[in-house]
Amino acid sequence: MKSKKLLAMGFAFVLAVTSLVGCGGNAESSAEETKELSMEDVLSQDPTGEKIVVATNNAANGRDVWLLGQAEAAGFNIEIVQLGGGDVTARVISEVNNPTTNVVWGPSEDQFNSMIEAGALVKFTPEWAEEVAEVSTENGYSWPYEIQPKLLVCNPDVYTEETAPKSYKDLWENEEFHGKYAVPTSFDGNTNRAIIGGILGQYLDEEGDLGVSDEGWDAIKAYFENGYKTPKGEDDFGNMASGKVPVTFTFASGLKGKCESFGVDPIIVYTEEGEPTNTNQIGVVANKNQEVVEESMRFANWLGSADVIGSYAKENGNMVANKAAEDQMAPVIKEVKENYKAQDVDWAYINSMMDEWVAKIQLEIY
Amino acid sequence: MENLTKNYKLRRNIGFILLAIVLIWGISTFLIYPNLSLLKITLFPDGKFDVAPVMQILGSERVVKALKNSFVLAVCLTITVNVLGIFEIFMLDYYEIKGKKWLNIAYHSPLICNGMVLVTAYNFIFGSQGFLTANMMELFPNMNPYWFRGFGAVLIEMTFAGTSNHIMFVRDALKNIDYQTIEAAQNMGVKGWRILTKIVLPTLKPSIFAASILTFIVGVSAFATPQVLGGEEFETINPLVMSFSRTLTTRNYAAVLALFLGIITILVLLITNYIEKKGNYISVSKVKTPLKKQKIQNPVFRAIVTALAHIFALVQTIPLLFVFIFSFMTAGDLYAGKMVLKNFTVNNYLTVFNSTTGLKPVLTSMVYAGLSAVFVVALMLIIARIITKYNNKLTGALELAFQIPWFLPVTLIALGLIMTFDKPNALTFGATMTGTVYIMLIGYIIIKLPYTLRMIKAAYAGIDDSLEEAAKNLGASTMKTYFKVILPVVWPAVLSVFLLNFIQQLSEYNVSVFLFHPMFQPLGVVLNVATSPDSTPEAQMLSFVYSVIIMIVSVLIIGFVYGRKNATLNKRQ
Repeated sequence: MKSKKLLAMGFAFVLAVTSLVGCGGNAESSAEETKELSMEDVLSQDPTGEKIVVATNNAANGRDVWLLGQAEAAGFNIEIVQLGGGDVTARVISEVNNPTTNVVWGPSEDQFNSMIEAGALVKFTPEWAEEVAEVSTENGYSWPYEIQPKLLVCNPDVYTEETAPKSYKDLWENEEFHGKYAVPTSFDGNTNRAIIGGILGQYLDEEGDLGVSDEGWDAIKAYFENGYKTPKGEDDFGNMASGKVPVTFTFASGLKGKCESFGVDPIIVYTEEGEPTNTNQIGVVANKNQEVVEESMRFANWLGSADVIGSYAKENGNMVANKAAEDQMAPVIKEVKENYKAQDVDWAYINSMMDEWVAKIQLEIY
Repeated sequence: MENLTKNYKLRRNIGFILLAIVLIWGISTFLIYPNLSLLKITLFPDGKFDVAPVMQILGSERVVKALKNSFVLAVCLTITVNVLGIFEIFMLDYYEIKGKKWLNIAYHSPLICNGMVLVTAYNFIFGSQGFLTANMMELFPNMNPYWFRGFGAVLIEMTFAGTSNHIMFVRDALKNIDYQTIEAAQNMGVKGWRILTKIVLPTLKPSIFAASILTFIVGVSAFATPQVLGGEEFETINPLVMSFSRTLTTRNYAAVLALFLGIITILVLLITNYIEKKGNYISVSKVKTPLKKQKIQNPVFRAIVTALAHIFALVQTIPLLFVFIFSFMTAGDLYAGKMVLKNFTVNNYLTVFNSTTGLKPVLTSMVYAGLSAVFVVALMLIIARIITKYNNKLTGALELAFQIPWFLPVTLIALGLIMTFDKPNALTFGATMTGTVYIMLIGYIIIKLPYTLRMIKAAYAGIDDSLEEAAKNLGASTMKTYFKVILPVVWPAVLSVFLLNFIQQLSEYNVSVFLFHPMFQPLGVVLNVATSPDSTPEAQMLSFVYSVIIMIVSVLIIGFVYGRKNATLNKRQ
């Protein structure tokens, strides 16, 4: 009985598989007949309804339902795969010869750069390219839809604008902040990496170990030693809200939701050196099937357009890259956008060194 | 007559040769080639072995300490799990204790909960802002909120969470004891304690051995528990390995560390294999009289033992109850350590049901876990049989080959598969596996091979050779002997292995995240996306909902399998 049932389940599974493989095969053969169209022709076409797989780290908290609903209304047929930014990147790179995803939405420009290097993406230019032109260095493959400064935030009952730290350096140099600020406890998230990059990036030195001066390594060491390593089961933002560890940091798009969760209106510190900032981008994965690639381009173009990304940002508290959508941003983010300044350090170099820095921190410092 | 024997031998030989070809192909294609090519890429980046990572790792105080901690944890855990496990088995099957049904459920209950979620639940109860800690702080304001942290906390959690595994196997062996032997000893005036140490425990030895090795490996590769409960004072090595294996430039560190761990594991396996071969186990009975439960005579002792049995049962079930409760709470309340009944909500459930994936991941994981568990168990029934029956260098090599997945972090195994089979490959007859629905199934099968082999081997080891001889003397063919005599004896253990594999794979993450097909997202992936550091506290609440779903599925499957097991047993009797 059990074996019969399992057999039946297995059979159903195999059926599903063969039908899938079948689809892929047919589409591939027709791809050769389609000749390449210009970007304008591709984007001006209506969605064909070709199934595309969207891999994203922007689908939590019901955002997947929102995205699917909007996409369907616009005529797209998408399957959403929810993965962390690092996992999406690793997967796209390792599947370069046989991709399973078509559009990548959400990783940082640095992560996109490694996908581009691996030859996993195709070039495309969305209609809104002009609107996001100044936000990041153009690479021809992936385009920013969101600006993501990392913000230092403080509990408003413990500090005032005057007594709050003025820069990251204050945290470890000024003894009164010792033990009062949360530090990264894992090293795979974009936010944590940007914080580390923002600190070490101020001490770049060609002579130094891994391109950082001794002073820089001492600084990061002091930063970790005097900070609070939030244990699992505690939330750094929650600790900030309750005043237990009154200083922490967050990515800008998390600000609105976290403040609502923990019922707090924190002081946002606009640091002297500027905020470590990256952008989150969207790109199209290379595929032998030209129809899929073209539909993916249309989808990426649609998702990043002012109306769509604007209404997304309005609900979720994102800082949009598309200038035409700025009006729709949540009030708190509008305020941040007016006040923050992106930290001016060599992010391209920092990102290229980050894996090794993180390894060194994990082995010798943390 | 002579012709017949010849014919039979020929058929047998052809069978063996075919099996050998398939095995050699399977082992080299899926176990050796992908892993070797990945190790080559990571350890020999320019064709030369790069010693720098080795030196850096040995020079890192943190790593050396973490390695030491992992080893100490493994040794201690093996002891504590055995003590608790054997105690619980005696409570269930040897002594007469009130409330056996409840104890039976309680002692097995941690099996059905995802490890990461279970330890999270512990933390929300005993941790610095946990419910118990928060309440105790009101009574004793001066107490240390971090009291449940470090080595002790890790050991306690892992002991209570890991003992179910242990008892599932060792219990089956206890059923093989012939009660007549015990009666005979009693008639000769042997006291209860000596019966235990001289008759009962020796019979359990092979299973205790197998379970100990597994516990040791669980300890050495501890991941979730030290991360959550270990704190800064007690870090183990595996979280570091995992974190290094995730990024391209640090993968060589992961490989080097994995090799260290692999060497420790190999040493332990070799030592235990040696001891196992030396010990000759008495097979106690041919026609077994079922065990009669013993009554503990001393009333004080009986009361103490009964109380302990029930306390352990509570310790093992309460965290599960909390997982259930947490799934109805809001993130704000949970992190504040406040249980406000009127704030309880089904919103977390609604979010899961309304998400675009809905409950499809449950079905996906059930299919993958089911198929892989059936395949692995079936394959290992054959392999373990060969290994126990023909004990030589060749079978030794075979055994070692199937244990390869124990020596490598699963992330590297997954990466090896994905990078090796991403283009047409002669070994797979020109098929590309990456990006298909099959590759995750292959991954699931690979990571369960060593464990399943060990367990089924232990089950075979408990079989009395004379049973087989008797069947043959009565004229039964090899096949018939196997299916009618041997298989029924190992069947309970086989079911246990099947269930454990199935339940563990339901929430598998480390392999799945690289190998799953986008149309079929498994539970482990959706569950872990919810618990990632960049996700909001609200999203993290969903992990409790998924765990409750996993628990329900697990209970249904266990009920189904054991329901059938009991039915067959009844039929046979």
